[in-house]
Amino acid sequence: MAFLTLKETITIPTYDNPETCRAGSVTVDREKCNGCGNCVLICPGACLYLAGVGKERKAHMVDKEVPDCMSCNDCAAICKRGAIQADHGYDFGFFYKALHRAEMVPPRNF
Amino acid sequence: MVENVKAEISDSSNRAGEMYGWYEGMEWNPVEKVILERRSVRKYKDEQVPEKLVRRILEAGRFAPSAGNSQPWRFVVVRDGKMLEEMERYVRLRCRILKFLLDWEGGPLGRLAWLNSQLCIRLMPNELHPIPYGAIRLIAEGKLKLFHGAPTVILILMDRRGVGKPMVDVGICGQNMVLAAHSLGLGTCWVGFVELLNFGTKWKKKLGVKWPYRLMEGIALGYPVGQPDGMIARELHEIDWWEEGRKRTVF
Ligand SMILES: Cc1cc2nc3c(=O)[nH]c(=O)nc-3n(C[C@H](O)[C@H](O)[C@H](O)COP(=O)(O)O)c2cc1C
Ligand code: SF4
Ligand code: SF4
Repeated sequence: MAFLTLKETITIPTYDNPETCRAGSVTVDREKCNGCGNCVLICPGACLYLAGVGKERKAHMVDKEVPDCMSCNDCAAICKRGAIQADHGYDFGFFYKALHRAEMVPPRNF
Repeated sequence: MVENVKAEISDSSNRAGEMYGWYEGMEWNPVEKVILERRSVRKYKDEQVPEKLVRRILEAGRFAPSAGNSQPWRFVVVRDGKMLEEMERYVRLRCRILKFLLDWEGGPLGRLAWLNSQLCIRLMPNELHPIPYGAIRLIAEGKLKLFHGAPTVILILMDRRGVGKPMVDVGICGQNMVLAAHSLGLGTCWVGFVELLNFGTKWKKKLGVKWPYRLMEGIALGYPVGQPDGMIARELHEIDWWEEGRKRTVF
């Protein structure tokens, strides 16, 4: 059962502390990515960039311990090559601890 | 009669995507498709949206449900590029000020900014949640746009005298318009940061934001660059499910 302890409730996390904060993050499939840059253009967290030359030009996630990624997967939606995916939801812990969540899955038509 | 309907519905082969019925294994119907494929659009073409199309979208907002049918909204449509740019600059300046006061990472206030933010986050835990906190910094640095270059913006003002919880009504109303827009081939993005136009008199005066109204949200509207809509993965949420006196957990 997910719940907040009293200590968690009264503690504001330090937003940039990688020990306690889990920001969103994405995985780029280097085989599929052709470096078109669409994801970089629309990422609301400004946490993607292109690097490499010629065929090796690929999308990368910025090298920050706590990037501004909010796991929105808007990058995945605009990438028609299916080359980029958010790994997990974000969780800043303590006061903002994520509750009652599980892994990320696409819409299921029951 | 019921038997007939069932027999008809179970013939799933040629009923794909049909409305107003459900059978097991059914494909998404058009409404579900729009809901599930809608993504926030953050890059727009310069091409203006025809006036009639915007009017049609506003109709979707007008017919949104609201507590006590109070309709606690007022729309302001802005299609003036220069004005949108000025609003963007205004919000960016306010983000710079907030960043100066609160950013402990790179700001000149250092430790003092940390204390400041600890206090402010406690006072405004929603507004200064880590995500908007990060977005304030990004807007201040010019890395995140406000309207993302959209040629049309619908501002939603809330009548604070609405029935019950007018913020909920305003949200429903906006999402009606957003879904209508996507079904018509447009892209949209909610813009919560228009809130910062409330800080200072300039835009409140110009946009008619005075009692009983408060500027709540903006919806950027335009033709998207590329194909930003599409289904994606999102977190499952744990759901309590009560039935026959017992509780189950489903996802
Ligand atoms: C009330 C509200 C305010 C929002 N404000 C902003 C905003 O100021 N800037 C922005 O880029 N996105 C904004 N968004 C968009 C969210 O970031 C987006 O809906 C969320 O990441 C989920 O992604 P999706 O809309 O593509 O499914 C807002 C969304 C909502 C519902
Ligand atoms: S991940 Fe997709 S959208 Fe991003 S650069 Fe690669 S191919 Fe283009
Ligand atoms: S999930 Fe959203 S915030 Fe994270 S990299 Fe993709 S577009 Fe950017």
